[in-house]
Amino acid sequence: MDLASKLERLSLELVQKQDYLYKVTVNLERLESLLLSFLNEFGYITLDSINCRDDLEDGFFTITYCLQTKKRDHIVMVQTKIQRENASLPTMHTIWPQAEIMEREMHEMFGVDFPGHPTLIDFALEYWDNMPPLRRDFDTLEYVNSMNPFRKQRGDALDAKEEMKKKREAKKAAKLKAEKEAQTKAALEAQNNPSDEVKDEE
Amino acid sequence: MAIDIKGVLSPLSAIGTLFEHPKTLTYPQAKKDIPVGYRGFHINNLETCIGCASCEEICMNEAIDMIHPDIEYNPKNTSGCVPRIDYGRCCWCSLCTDVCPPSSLKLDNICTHAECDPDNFLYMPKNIKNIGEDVS
Amino acid sequence: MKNNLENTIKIFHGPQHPGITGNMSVELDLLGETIKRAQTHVGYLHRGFEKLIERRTVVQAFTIVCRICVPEPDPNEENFARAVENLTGLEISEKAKYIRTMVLEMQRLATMFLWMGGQAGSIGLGLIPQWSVCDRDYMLDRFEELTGGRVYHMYAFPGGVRRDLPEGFLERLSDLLDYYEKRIIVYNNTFFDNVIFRKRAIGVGVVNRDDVLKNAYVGQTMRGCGIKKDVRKDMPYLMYDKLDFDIPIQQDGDVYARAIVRRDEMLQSIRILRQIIKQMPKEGEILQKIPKHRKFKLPSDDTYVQTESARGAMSYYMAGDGSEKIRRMQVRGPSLVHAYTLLEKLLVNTELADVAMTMNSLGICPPEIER
Repeated sequence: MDLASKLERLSLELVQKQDYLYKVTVNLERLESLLLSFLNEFGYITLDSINCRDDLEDGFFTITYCLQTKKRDHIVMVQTKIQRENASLPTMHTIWPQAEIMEREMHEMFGVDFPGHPTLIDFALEYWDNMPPLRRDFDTLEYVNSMNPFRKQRGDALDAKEEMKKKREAKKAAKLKAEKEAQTKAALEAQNNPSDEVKDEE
Repeated sequence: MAIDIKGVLSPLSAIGTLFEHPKTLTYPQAKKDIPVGYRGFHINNLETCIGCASCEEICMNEAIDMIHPDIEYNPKNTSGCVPRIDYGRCCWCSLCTDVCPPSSLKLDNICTHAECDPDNFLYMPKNIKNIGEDVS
Repeated sequence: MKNNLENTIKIFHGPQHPGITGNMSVELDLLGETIKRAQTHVGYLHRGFEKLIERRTVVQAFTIVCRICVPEPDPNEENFARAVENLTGLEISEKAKYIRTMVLEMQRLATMFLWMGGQAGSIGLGLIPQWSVCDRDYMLDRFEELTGGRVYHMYAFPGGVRRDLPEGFLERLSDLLDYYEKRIIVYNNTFFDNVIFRKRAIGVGVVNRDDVLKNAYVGQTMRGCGIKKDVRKDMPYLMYDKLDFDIPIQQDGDVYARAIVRRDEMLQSIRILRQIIKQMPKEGEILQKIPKHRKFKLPSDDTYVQTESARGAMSYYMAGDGSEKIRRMQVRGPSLVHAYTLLEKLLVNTELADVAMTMNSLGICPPEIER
């Protein structure tokens, strides 16, 4: 592919992921210039989407820009990593107008800041003052439990695994009991006719 | 501006449908056939249910509870429990029937339920062997 | 610009359903009947799908993706299934591929009929919605037979499809297609050639052709401007490279051009379905053996898949992290850009009565915007 040699000049590697999918990884300092050269030199004029992924364990967000050419016959993912704390990205809305709404959404859902973005207002959530909800340390269940009362109706659920254990133990106990009973019975019988037992032992 | 004669006259062909037979059903008298394999309400054959709680585990809506049944059940049931489904949460994805090891849990093609009390949406699957056996 | 807004009044269009677009509101500044400024507001349908999927295993997450867009759930399922297959390297059999292609095309027809109802209803042609929703229901009957559900099918599973074709299904589908071909002639007479629709739609909501590629407009919005692009042809998935079909285009870029493109696409869908009925293999595995849901793990990798839905290209970004849960799944539906970047621009200097019609012709589906 022609793009691969062009990227090699910038000492970047193009990885083919699927039939129509390629991926370039770049650090944050070179991101803006690389996206601009994708647009102006390589002919990738369409920005299909900006995706954000929260890698909580490693402490960064992984941002993926998906670009397409005029022919729209393949997709190139340009991927970069930014710190989770005080996350900030250069805004692309002057180059691609649709980036405005994608960045607005990312600002609301992940708390990524875009210096120079004109409309970082509410997207889908109104008057949200909690942690950005798509960060992975935001616990949905805890939030819902603290906000909404639940109807009390399903208190009678049983833990099947414990029930299984209980039943198994009950079975074992029953078996032991039965064995014991059988033993005492046998012992009683042995007491009643001691001669038989002696014979058996012989 | 010229009048679009075709555009004025051709929609009038819809008048012809006045003389056609209506396509709707007169509902209580005539009912639609529900095909086999429709994802309706649950049935559970207690004779074969083994109480393994696979259905409870896979249910992403946490709609299934395992409880002790009032009636007689499979003596080989390992936990003595059978599933009960909260129809306020169920989404009828039928994953629970897909994972059921003895395939005792199935979906019937009945799908009407009316109740005033929301607590009655806890649905105990009907104890029948096969779909469509006991419709009443 | 501010002077223009001096004597305007502000009204909200929505969030109740105008036509069949869903709960989304457009804040309009009106001067008389003319719109001076439009601003889209979403958030009435935010259910946090992407967050919900984070908490679930792959098998459990599969049942939720179809709810992302109500009028056409199947491209979502297809995207999800294909993304998981890409990540885990599952191969699906030829029969499963054919069935999935068939379901996608059936869904396209059903969605187009619903769109037709919305488009005609929003300009006051009350007869067409009644007909087209009835015609859509015949397709839903076929879905009910095949998948067990009418609207939410939950059918395309990673590794294939969940059920085999019922007996005699293809014949019944073929009969339905015969009926549809006749019906499209009727719709042609009563709707597409109708002088009311033509007078309302021609010249309204004109999309500038130069903006299309750069702003990532997709689907009929793009093809209505004369740009011949379709994911099914450019990046073929499933069996689309073995099927013969055309991409209909129109040059004007207005509401009427998009309507005509959609009508022609319905005919193409029927053509594709007829080929599938002929080529459908009799034998073949329908579902690959996949591990149990606690053991079905995604590698720590990411992928991006694109499917042509009935309203344009719909893409999913999916990333795994080596556990059974999906780390991130992001939906990029066609309506995100259409409802914001495009609609806010298109509505300026049009009339209030054209808002619902324009929204409908762009194929906006609000649940897909806010997820």
